[in-house]
Amino acid sequence: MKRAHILSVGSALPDRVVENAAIEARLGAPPGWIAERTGVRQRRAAADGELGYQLGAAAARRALEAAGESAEALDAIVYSTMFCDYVAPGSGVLVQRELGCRRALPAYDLRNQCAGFLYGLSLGRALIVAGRAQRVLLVCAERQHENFLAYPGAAPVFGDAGAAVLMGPSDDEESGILELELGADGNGAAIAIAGCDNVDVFAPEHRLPELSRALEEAERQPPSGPKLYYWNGAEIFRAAVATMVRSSRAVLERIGSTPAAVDWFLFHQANLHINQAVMRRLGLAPERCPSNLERFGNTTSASIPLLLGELIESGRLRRGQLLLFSTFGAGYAWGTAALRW
Amino acid sequence: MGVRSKILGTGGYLPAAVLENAELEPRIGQPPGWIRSTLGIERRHVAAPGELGYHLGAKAARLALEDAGVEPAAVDLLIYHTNWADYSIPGSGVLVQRELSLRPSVPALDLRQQCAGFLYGLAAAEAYQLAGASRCALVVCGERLVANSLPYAPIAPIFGDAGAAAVVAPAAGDAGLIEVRGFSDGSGAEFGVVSSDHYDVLDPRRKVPPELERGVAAWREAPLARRLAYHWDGGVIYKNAVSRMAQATRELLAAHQLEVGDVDWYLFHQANQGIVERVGSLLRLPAERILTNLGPYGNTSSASIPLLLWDARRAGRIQPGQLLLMCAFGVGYVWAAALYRT
Repeated sequence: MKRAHILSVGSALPDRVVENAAIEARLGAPPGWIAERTGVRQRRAAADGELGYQLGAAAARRALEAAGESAEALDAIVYSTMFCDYVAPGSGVLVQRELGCRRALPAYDLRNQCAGFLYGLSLGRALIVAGRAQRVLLVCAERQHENFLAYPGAAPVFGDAGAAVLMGPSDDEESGILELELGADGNGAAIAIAGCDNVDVFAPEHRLPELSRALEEAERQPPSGPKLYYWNGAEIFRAAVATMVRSSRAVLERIGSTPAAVDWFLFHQANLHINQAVMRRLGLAPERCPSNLERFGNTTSASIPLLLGELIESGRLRRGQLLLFSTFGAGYAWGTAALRW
Repeated sequence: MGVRSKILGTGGYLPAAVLENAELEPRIGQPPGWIRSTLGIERRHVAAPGELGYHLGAKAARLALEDAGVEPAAVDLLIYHTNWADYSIPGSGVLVQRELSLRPSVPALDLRQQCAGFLYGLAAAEAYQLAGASRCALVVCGERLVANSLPYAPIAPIFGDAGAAAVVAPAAGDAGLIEVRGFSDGSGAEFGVVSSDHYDVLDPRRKVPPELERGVAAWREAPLARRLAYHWDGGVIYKNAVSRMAQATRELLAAHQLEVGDVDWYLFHQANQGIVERVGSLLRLPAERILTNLGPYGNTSSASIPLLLWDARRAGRIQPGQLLLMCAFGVGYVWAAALYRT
């Protein structure tokens, strides 16, 4: 069986830069508070009328250009986002439209939060290895900054971005995705949850286990925005560090490798402290773990492909090098992959 | 003969409460009998208070596992589908994983493919199994649609709540999924679009994306109970559903040198009676070869096809060695067709 590989990467960042000072002023927080707690210094914010699928389509065009391929060569689109542009339709079909695809190719829409890139990579890999697709465009687009502004816990962290990777079979025996594992644990749902318009989470009949903590918190302190939003940073931190370390070791062990043999670690950029703890536990030097958290904030499923794009552009990623991607997010859902470039 | 993804078991769950047309017709200002004659729907099941989409999906999934004789611990891939998410964060796949106590090493994919959800889920499961990455997948559809539709007269009579699931595993031999094809065409997006609460298009200072211009104009003329804008052109959707489902069916059969008469059962997404009948007449299908459940369940979105399978298997209508053709169309447009040997 052929291995699946990443053939090219494209990124699209909105022009507007939002500095910490603007958010600190809004939240009444002292200067420097955001950078210290999260490691984020600035983030991008989509323009009015610029929806997630538009960021995704712009990134997708660049990924196709970088590979010198046309949209007509695609066999499938896999689109990942946390906040859907519309209740209906999905955004994958909108990318299909924006790219001017004449072929009515399958367009998957995934909703796996911060694990979206790894989940999408896994689906793309399955389609390719199964022989069901030769070219899969995985598009991760997040327009979330504005939605989180009302929530002091989230406003400082999230940024908007689009990133896309073109996937296809590897053309040699060595390169491509060597190993990939995903996981999910719904007991983590109570630790990070946000309501949506479809369910009145404050109705007494919705005293569900995943809402218990969020509702308790809301009783102590009314939600600061229109939705119920709860994020227990300390518990996420513990679960994220433990899972990313365990999963990274497991994936490397399965390919007969160790952290020392990995050239580049691309971790999801949720929080500086999470990644520093993971790096300490795995014994990694910071220069092997590129970061974009300072500049872009947490871009959810776009974070890892953005890092990969920057690594390629800077000329530092060379053929034959070993990469490890690892992410952990709400759900809980997580994923880790080892890839030979 | 290679390996095919085979449906080992199916499960359906219809919530206990039933909403009859007679109760609904006065609420939407229609005369008695109007819903039945216009849509082919007689009643629909409605989720209980506190019963969310993932509950419906998890209950159906338990039945599917029992039907297949498979322990939850054997599941290595969960694919969950819904139209309307229970929460913004997280997805509902992880909640089904929790409800069924699936192993945490089981990926929980959350898909959003509107009415084509089950067949897209089947296509994803097949890819994992042909790639050797799954030995036992659970494809779960959970649709809780009625509560959100009731305030809007044009859509109030259409939808029904349901969960449906299938256990899918690779098997050697002739039986199983012969081929599934997924399609999309975003040029149809503007004809069936509903805004989400993540981008408030009704804020007058907002730039309105092209696919919602008509929806926003309509809201300005006649505001709805909720802050959502939508445009739903039933005529255009009907025409596209009919032509694309007929075409996908013909192409898939032709690709396998089959005639429409070779298929034992047709399982079309149950959007409304008119679409199903028109596809049948375009393809010149005998009515008795077309399975339906619109009457008792309404349009259950992605759950409609697995519910057809579940009912027909229990009733003994589907027998080993038969050929099934499944086809679904949803807004986007996204659509899919599958050919399956029992």
